[in-house]
Amino acid sequence: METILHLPVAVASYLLDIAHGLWAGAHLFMSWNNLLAVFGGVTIGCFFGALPGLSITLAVALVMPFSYGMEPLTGLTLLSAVYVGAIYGGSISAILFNTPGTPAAACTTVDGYALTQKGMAGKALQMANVSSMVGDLTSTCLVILLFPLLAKVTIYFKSPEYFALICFAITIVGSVAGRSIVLGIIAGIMGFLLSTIGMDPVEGSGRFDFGSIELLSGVGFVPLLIGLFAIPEFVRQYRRSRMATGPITLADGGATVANDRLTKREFFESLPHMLRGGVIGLALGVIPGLGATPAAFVSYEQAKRRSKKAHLFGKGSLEGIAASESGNNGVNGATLAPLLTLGIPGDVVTAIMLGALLVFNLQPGPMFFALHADLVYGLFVALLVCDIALRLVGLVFIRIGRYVTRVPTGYVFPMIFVLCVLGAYASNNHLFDIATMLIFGVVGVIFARVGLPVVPFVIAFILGPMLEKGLRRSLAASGGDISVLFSSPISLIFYALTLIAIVSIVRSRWQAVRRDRSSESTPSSTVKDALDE
Amino acid sequence: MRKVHTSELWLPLCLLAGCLLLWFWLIPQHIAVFGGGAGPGPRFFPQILTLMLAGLAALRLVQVLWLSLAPDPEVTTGSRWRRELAVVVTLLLVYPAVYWLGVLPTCGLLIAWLMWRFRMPGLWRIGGVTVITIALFYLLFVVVASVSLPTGALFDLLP
Repeated sequence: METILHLPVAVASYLLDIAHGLWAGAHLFMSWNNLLAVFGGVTIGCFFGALPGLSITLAVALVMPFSYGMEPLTGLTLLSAVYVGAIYGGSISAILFNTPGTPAAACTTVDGYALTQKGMAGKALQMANVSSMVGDLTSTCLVILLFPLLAKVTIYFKSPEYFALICFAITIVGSVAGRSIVLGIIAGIMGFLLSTIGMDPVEGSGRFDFGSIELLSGVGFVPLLIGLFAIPEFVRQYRRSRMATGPITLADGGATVANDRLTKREFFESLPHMLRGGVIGLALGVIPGLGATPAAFVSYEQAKRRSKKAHLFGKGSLEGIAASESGNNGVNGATLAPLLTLGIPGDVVTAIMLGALLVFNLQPGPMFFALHADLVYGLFVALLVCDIALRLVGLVFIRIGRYVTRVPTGYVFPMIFVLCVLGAYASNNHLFDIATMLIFGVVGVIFARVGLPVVPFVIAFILGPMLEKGLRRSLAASGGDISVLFSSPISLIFYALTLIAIVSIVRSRWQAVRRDRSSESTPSSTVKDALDE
Repeated sequence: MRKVHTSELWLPLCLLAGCLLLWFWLIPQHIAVFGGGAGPGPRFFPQILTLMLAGLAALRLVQVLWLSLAPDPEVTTGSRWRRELAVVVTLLLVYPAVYWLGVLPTCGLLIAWLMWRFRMPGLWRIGGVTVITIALFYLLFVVVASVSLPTGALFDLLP
């Protein structure tokens, strides 16, 4: 009885703490530099997102060297704003040109382009913009509410638990990212091996440095990232342009945007789908490796099941756009939760943010919230402001989006390549980093050729030192007894989750192979097949 | 059983060869162990990873040889991928160019050359865009971000 009476007091105190934190975060955030970072970042993100071929990762990686010279909150705000803008930007080319700017916008293409063909591109673009904002706001607010609880749970994480968690994260990322689980895990192990180049994290002795001072400090993260993501895309576009007889653009066709506004009724009809999309984005965003694309498809499927106008889905449904866009934007805030509480990035963008935090001498993990609560709340405030900026910048991009995607590749990609060279150099002021970037460009092309996924490779590379430290310290403390890794309940839960995930992924892939074989003769490009995938 | 593409065999075989190289040469020769530390030493983690990689490479080999795997539609054809690799290897020349000419002159030449290769028409347009872009990058990196871009070994030789 006493506990029940104390519960409202405890909840009120919990909410009051959050309100205090947000107030302090808002104080830290409110500066012209941060506001400029938000609007600049969202604009850059929208630009990169709207251009098919330029990935979100590349946008964040190219901006990263500039964030080094900023205050930690400003730098992190810039990276988050680029991420938020790029995910929304992907919907512009998806709706206007039937070409998703990012994989996360693939689901929007079906209904978005159908509406464009009916002359309702303006409505579709406005719905994408509003639902991106609502989805992101929903998930960010929920993350703010749940974050202190998560931070308290993670205090129980020690070296063996970290080991189990990283194994779980890499297995999931590796399993989901590639065409084969084995290839995904191979890529992850290669990333771990690459992270062993440089100084040993425990004893400080040199490993695989071949007498080079540059290699002793390890492989640079920024040049690696730029090389792996930018160069293969550059090469693809170069090949595409060489096959053409004249200058080519990233997307062709597209209708003019009529002055058809989204009505209040249409907005309120789609609002439940947007809110649900935000919650789905949150739920899938905290699981490493899943991210925006599955969130968009799951949200779309759920909306289709519950909608009164389900027959319009796939033929130009505003509710469909609302569901997919809120789903893919809902992961933005959610991915920050495991990063800040555990130091585990769920995707490459949060891996970049982890890299940025380490550059600022900030170690995310269980103590991060206790030591830097203002910064965490400041970042949450920044995410909320990003949503407002997304609405404003989005309105401009609705008008100019079609011109952006018609810029010839001959202008865009030479500049992107030169920006890669300068960005790689600026990350450390070393010519060696340019060589690293070019070498990893070759690696990226080879990876694409042999079917090795890049995402687990990059995440494993950044988590490698943490995994090694966790493993060696656990074994040193237990006198070499390996059972220490399986002794705690939290570790066992993660091992069990890893096993369940592998079994379910193998099962679903096996079913997909069987289904493909049975329907080899029929064309399979419908939305239903995409959802089944 | 479907016919195995020789290209699919390359990856596991190369990985197995890499593991042998790591186990017998790179780990013993290029990781110094000073001794005296408690617990596993600096060679422990790379050794574990090498063993796991070898195991997975062997598993992949078995998959390719015995299982009927669906070929990946994303994988490019042999001649196309060789051309892609040739482009990237050509791009590696950027490094010596940056070393000898410096960053900004190399970037200027790169933009002009790439625009021409991307089939952009008009020398004046290429020249104009190159000059404007380099000025913009100079402003962004040198003036705003205070990055000191190296001038190149050739310019250092000038009196």
